[in-house]
Order: sequence, then structure tokens, then C-alpha cells
Amino acid sequence: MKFINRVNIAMDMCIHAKLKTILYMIEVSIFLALLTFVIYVTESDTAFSDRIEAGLKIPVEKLGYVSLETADTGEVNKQIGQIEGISAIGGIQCNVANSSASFAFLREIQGKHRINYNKEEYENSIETTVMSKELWNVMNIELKEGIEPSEYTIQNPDREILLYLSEQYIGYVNIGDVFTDTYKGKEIFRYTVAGFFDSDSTVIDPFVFSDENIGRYGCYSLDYGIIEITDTMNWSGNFIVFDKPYADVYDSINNIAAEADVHIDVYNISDVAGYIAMDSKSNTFYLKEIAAVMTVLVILSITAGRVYFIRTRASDYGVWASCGASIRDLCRVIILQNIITVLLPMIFASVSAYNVIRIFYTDNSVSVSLLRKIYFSKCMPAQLITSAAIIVLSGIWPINIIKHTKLSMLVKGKVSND
Amino acid sequence: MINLQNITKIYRMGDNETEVFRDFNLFVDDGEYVAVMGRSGSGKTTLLNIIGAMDGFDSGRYMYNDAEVNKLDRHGLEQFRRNHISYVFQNYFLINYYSVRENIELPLIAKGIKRKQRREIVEQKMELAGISDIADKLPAYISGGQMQRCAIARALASGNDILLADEPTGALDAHTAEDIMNVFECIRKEKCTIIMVTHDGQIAAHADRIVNLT
Repeated sequence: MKFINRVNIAMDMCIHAKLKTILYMIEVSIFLALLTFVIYVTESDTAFSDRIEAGLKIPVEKLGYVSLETADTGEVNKQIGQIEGISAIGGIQCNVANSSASFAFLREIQGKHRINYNKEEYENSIETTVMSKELWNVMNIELKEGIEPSEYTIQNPDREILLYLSEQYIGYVNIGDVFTDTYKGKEIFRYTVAGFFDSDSTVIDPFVFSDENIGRYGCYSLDYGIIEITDTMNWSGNFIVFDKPYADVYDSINNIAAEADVHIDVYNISDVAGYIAMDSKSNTFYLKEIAAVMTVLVILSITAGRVYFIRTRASDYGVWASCGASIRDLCRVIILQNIITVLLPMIFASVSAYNVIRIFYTDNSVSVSLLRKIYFSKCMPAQLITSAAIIVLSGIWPINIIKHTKLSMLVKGKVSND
Repeated sequence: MINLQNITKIYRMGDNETEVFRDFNLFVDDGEYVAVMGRSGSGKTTLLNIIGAMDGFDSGRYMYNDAEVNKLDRHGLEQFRRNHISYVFQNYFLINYYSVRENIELPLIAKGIKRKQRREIVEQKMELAGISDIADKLPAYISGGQMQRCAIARALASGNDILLADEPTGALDAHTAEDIMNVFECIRKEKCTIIMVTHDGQIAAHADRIVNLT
């Protein structure tokens, strides 16, 4: 029998058993959509390295963090920065509420991207990211227009701040524009717009090393972001970029701590990411168990449905066999019926689950790119494998029935294992 | 030429055994029209099932021309059925969501014949069975006689040389049964071997030979 004829027979059988087919399809759609959702939730919680790396231009293995407990952070930071093998040191702070009055007209623009924008909350401040000059090339930032921070000499480190804005602000602000904060008529800060960066730029979450289990995102999206670049070394916590093995760097920093008699905590960010991922994995383990149980239940229920279908429509298969169709043809028709029953729901579940997650669970370019990555590398293969398993496993029993039933019985609509 | 030699067939249900045939012999020549009669349970349908390779037997030989059918494997039996055997059942066994035309097309689809050729054959067989006017109707909307004509047309469409009919008039009134027999007369002209199981002596009288199973 030709393939197209087998497809037509399978389609006809599915269409004729409309209600049953629709019920199967709904069941498979719901199951696959839930499975996709469970995989996304599990993976997005544990894909911590991916999220950290999304904020970096360098591999996460080269990134560390030092935390100081001293009044003279500037001097100690300077010494750490001079350690052989440390190529950059600098601090970063996200979600800083900058209440500079001169930024007032930028608030409306920034407010557009906030999902839960509270006008009152942001009436007097704007959300900025404050960052050391040295971290510019470490973070995932692409300059679109303007001057690189390294090419700009900050004249007065205590007062002068370079301002880099997302490309969303182009047209509202020009390179070279200056904003000043004054207090009692005296200039306290001077912000100079030095450039615009790509709105897909991201920076690492500065709380990534924190033991607190809240507020860690891996990285921050800068799609409407504003970066303040400072020259100061007076941060109590700094990211470091090391080219030597972590153990060497760790020892060198501890030596400085001993000499300066200060307490310094040193973190290897890739270890932190691994630990957080493991922690999240244990929190989401039950989700994978649920997904596994769901898969087994769905395969069983679809198998039962298929067996019921074969038993009630045995005569149709018998008629085909009495008309010359081979048992192999009939088995292929059963598999094609399974494919039809599963393929359409798979496409539907795939598209709808993606869009639901996209709409309700992503709020910036980082989460969208993470969704894409998880979706295409984890969810889609899982859907395909599960669908294939449903197609094959739910076909085994019905095929067995057809194979073991005498044609003389089958044509009369009876099935047996005689 | 069908040649059944020393066929023994036993049905087993748990510890119970029912012997249907012991050393049964039957020879049917090409183009012959044979009626099989006998009381209920005498093995009429079993005989058709054996000839149609739908059922096996315990011992003996089944020769079709030079081929030993009982030695064929599953694939060989399927090919034998596809190329030589057509069935007409008492209960018609039409697929209820296919039209008359589509039901007649089934054996041609199973054989992989192209659509255009299928259409031509179906039209021809519908005309022979006198059902061209109901070609697009579903089985639920036609009479028993028309359904049996459709089943006969389907059997003829395959172009096979053996037609096995199991009580083809069993569910029909006398007048309609006579109509069906007229269709069988037409089939004879196509040089088809017909083996028909029936209870009805009048129907059996249409055959060249009557085989009585006791």
C-alpha cells in the first residue's frame, strides 16, 4: 500500500472517531504544554551559569569577587589590582535610585519598560547602574556611539561621572550633554554623556555571590539602562578578573589581607554559580519527578485509548485486511494515527507554551534570550522525544492486538490473543 | 485450481477440542461455481476461511495451482490473499464512513493501483453490480440488497480469481436474494471461481456443484 494511502486511511479513521481524536489531542496538548512549562521552570532556575555569562564578555571561570571590611578600601583595592594575574578590578551596583533632578525627562522613557511601573516610586528618582571604569570591557556591553570609557580621562574623580545610555535614549540626549547636581548653588556631581550602548547589553548581577536566596538574577538587562562610570576605587566589594589559576590569586589576596590586617572574603564566581544551580536543582527536583510521572500516565492513558479504539473499530482493520492490506500496512496505519494524534498537539503546545512563557515570564532581553536558549535546547528536544515515545509506546499494544488476532475474527470486529 | 487434501481442523478451547474436519478433501476447478451447504456448525465458514487463508488447519495440504498455500509464511499468505482471494460476507462488512464508491475502491488501494485506474475499475464494477446510481451514498443510507451488491462489486474490483461468499443472501429477502444471484451469474462470465456458503437450496441450485458438509 502506498504511503499516501496509509496516511489517508489513518486520517479518515481519526476524522471518523472525531470525539475520541479531539479528546486525545486535547490531552496531549495539555500534557506537552505542562511538560514544557515544567522543563522551563526547572531549567531557568538551574541555568545560573548561563544567566551570569549572559552579562559577561569573558568566561565566568575568570571572574572572582572580593569583599573588604576596612575603612581604607581604596588602598587595599589598589594593592589587589596590582597582583600579577589580576587584569581588572572594579565594582558595580544595579538598581541605584539616582534622584538627580536633571534626569527628570529621562524617567518617562525608562518607565516605559517597567512591567509594574509605580509612578510615585520613580517620581523623584531614576534607576541607574553605577560601575567602575575597569568593568566596562568585562560586562556584556556594546558601544553603539560615543567614546569608550578607557579613552576618556575623568578630570575630577570625586565629582565627574561619565554617563552611558541605552540607544533608547538617542534623540532625547546628545553625546557631550552635561547634567549637574547642585546643592545650595554648589555643583556636587557632573554627569557627561559619553555614549550610547546597544539595548541588548547586559551586566552581571552584583549580588550573585550573596548567600541570600533572594534578589539574584544572574544578570541585568540594560534595554532602557543608564550606566554611571566612576573612577573611584572606594568600593567595599569588587569583581576581579584573573588570568592565573584561582588558587594563586586567592593566596595572593590572602597575603595582602594578612599584611594590611583586614578581613577579605574571596569568591570564585563559577563556584558560586555551580552552588546556586545545585541549590536550585534540589528545590525543583520534585518538578522533574512530576514530569516523569505525567509522561508515564499520559502514555498509559493514550495507549488505553488506542486499545479501546482498535477494539471498537477492529472490523475496519479486518475489512482492510480482507481487501488485501497486509498486517504491516495496518500497523503503519496505527502508528500514523498516533502521529496525527500527537503531531498537531505537539505543534500547538509548542507554540502556545512558548508564547505564554514569553508573555508572562519574561520582562527583558536577558530573560527572552534565556527562554530561547532553554526552549530550543531543552524544551523542544524534550517535546520531540516525549512525543516520539507516546507515538511508539502507545502503538505497541494495539499493534500486538492486530498481529495476534486471526483475520477471520478481525473482520467480524472481534479481537483476541488466540 | 483449488485442491484441499486430507485437511484436519480442530478448534481448541481450553481442554475442549472440537474436530471440524478430518481428512477432508475438496477439488475446485478454475472458473467453477461451487455451493457449500450443511447444517450449522458443520464447518462451512471454516472451510471458506481455510480456502481464503484467513484461518489455518492442523494437518493436510492446501494446493493452489502449483503452490502449497499451507507452507506460505505470513507475508506469503498476505500476498496470496491480495492477489487471488475476494470475500463477500453475509453482513457485508462495508466501512460505514466511506461511500459506496470508496468502499469498492478499498482492494485497489490495498494493491497500490493509481487513482485514475481505480476510478475506471470502480465505475465498471458498479455498473456490473447495478449500483452506479448510489455511488456517493454512505452504507447507512442504502438497503441490504444494495449493500450486498456493493460488497460484491468490491470483491470484483480486486480482479482476483477466487470469490468466497459466506451466506451472501443470508440477510436478504427472497426477491433481493434472487437479484444477488443474478449478479453472481454475471460474475461467472468474468471467469472467476466462486465458492459460496449457503443454507438455501434454491440459492445453491445456481451453482455448478453442491458440496454437502455433514
